[in-house]
Amino acid sequence: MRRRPSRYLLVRVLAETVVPEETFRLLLTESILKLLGEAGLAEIDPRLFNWNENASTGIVKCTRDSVEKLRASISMISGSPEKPMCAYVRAVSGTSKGLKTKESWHSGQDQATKS
Amino acid sequence: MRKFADLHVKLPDMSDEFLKRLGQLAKDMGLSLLGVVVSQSIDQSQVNRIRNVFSAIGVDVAFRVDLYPRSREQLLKDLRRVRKRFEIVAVECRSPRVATVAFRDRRVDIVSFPVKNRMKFSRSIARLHRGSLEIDVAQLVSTGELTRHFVLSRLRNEVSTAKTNHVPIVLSSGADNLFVLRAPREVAALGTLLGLEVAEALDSVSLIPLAIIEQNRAKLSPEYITVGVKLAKVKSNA
Repeated sequence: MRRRPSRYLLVRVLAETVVPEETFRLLLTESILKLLGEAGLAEIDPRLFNWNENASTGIVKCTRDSVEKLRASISMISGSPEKPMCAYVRAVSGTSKGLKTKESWHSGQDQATKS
Repeated sequence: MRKFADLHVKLPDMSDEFLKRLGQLAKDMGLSLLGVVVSQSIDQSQVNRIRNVFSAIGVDVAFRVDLYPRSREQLLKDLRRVRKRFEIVAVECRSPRVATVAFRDRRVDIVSFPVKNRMKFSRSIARLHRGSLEIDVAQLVSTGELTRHFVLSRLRNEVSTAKTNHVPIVLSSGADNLFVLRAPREVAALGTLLGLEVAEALDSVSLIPLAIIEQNRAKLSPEYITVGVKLAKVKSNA
């Protein structure tokens, strides 16, 4: 069987406190489930990896045809009234390596070292 | 490369520090123009200060005034007062009479029908259009007492009516703090959920809002005389 083509999204979270990887994974899954349901979650098939807690950035892998749906779900992440947050996509690439070589990844790393 | 704009950002804090954070975040998200809501009584020194803070970061800023008229007469009075001072004039419609005038008057750039209000964007109003319809995604992000499916349904109906009647749609974040600001491509992605094609959704966060600003800046320039007429050259006496 042919492998499904994927896309890799560099996601950054803006929050007042540090966001652990597991928290963001849960928020992302909840957001997709709430907006698109289980069928949507299965279609997107998100995988979060390379999470940098200090810079609050990570890479989310999804299927190629579901990038727009994943973007919409990411934009719905708002945290709670006590701990507001927002997430946004900084770059999209066909490979995770391509994403890491992009300037946006390095600037995220820079901010992490500064803070 | 596409330039993106968010025409509806409210400023809860006017301090330089907050404006810098907002500008940096907007730039990081890929926005090149922010439409910031200011009060009608803002003075020129404040305007210059805000503009300088944003331009140092590399983000263009347009000043917007939101009108909430209760009657047709109040709307016309407000329009006379603000039109020549602000780059964007937006009207939040709460009654059919206000909506009819707001949509027909060319001094109004943007008209919105917040979901929390009972007033809906109907076909009869859409037919009169001269301005653009604005949809704030903040309504979807924090729905308050309303359920998200209800908000989605109302916004989908608005988009459908607008598309049928060729009303330009502007998608904005409607942010009132840093955490509600959304990246333009994410806003466009939400637009596709509301029934827009990908290209239409991208135009709603780039071409359409930028065209409104360009047109209004031309109108506010001293060379502008009337539609299609502008001062090209002044004969010097010397």
